[in-house]
Amino acid sequence: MPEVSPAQSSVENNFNIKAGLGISRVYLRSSLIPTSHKREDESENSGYGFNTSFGYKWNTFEVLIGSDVLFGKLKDMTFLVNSAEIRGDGSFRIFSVSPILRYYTPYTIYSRWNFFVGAGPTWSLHTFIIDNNLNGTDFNNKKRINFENRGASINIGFEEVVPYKEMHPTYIELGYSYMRSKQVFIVDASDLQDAKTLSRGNSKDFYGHYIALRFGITLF
Amino acid sequence: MNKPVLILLMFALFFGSVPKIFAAVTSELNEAFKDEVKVDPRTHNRQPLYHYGYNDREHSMVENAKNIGIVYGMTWFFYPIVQPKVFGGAGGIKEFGHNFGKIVFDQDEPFWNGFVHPISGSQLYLLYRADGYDRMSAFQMTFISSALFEFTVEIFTEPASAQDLYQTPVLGTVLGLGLENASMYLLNSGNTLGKIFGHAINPATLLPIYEGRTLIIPKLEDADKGAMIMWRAGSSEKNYHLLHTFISLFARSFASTEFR
Repeated sequence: MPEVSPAQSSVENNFNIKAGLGISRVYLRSSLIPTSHKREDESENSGYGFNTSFGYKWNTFEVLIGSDVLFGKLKDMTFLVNSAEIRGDGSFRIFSVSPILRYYTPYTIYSRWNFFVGAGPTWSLHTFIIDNNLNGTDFNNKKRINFENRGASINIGFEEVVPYKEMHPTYIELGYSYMRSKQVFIVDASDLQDAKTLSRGNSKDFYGHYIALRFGITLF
Repeated sequence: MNKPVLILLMFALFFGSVPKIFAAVTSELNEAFKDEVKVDPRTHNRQPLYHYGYNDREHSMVENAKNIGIVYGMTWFFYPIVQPKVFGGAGGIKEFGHNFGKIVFDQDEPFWNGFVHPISGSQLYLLYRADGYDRMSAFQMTFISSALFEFTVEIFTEPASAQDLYQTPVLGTVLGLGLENASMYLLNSGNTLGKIFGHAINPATLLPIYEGRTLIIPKLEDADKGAMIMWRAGSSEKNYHLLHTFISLFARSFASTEFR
């Protein structure tokens, strides 16, 4: 890759807010989620959503707080809740937030796509909803199984080098994020205004990772 | 003091203290919709009398502190109204002490974290935009206001949440930017329904603090063809400034405008 030209992006030395869409492949593993997939304790699903970030960019470094919100469907999953097996089809959602240090390398492709790498710790919340209960327990679709996770992420991507921030430079990024559960919550969301935590406990046996393709623009 | 009396007192205080704001909004509405329908005879498009936009300007630290303080005061006022469980004994000083400084993931549904919080964040962003803050400054002010609310008001009932701290200002600003562009397009369309929707999605444009509305009065007489432009300056000045400019550009534009 050729080195970046002296004409630098006007996004430098500036606060910025970015937003875009994301597609991900989510891999989950837990003794609590045996599924019909490759392995008894492994699940592999697609998630769709959006990503946002805000941060400050210097010449080659950028510090930002980024977030992914992803939604997806799960088929035939089983959880152990208070010693009872809860099995059914359902859906999941992920909210993750991550402070990221990003380094803009001196390399570009097609003259104006600047290659960058970034990494940072992540905090995330996985929510699982069982829409149809297959084994007849009283765990209905108003109840949620939430895992609070810790992890880390690394990202590589390209950002457009443009002379003015108002031109909304585009970015495209491939991210890998790993997470491991710290706490698990069973939540009753029957009352939309006041979701009640029915039980909570430490949890270390849920873990997973996702690969996300993110693309978007610098809004301002 | 028992619960019904306290609620009544809050509502009395609310409706007693804001007639000035309502009066200002009413007068802005009256003014916004009273303009005559003007048509460009060539394109048959409406020619709006007012131009809506944003006049970004610098704010002093004192002004920033005052604005943060006003919004913060409003959160103290409105939180018990939108969270009536506070009157029912939920929360209190003990809860405040217990939650102080904590950040957790809340277990709320996407209706709250993906809809209500971003909408409130967007209106906060638009409020600061109306007061002349540029986009990034409006985001920063929204961030501070939202964080103050999370760390010092909401903790009477629950700890500050990571989702609210992030999504209220960030998603709020992203949504607010979309609403800002949509409302400006609608307001400048000159169409009555467009103006109604424009004000509805961006109600801060009706508040007395809004600094971006410009009145353009075309002058068609041959002797002084041009336009008189009238706009509202910074909120600190609280008055209208008149500028008579006779620019050939305006003269050419308005000379062919037919008034009905």
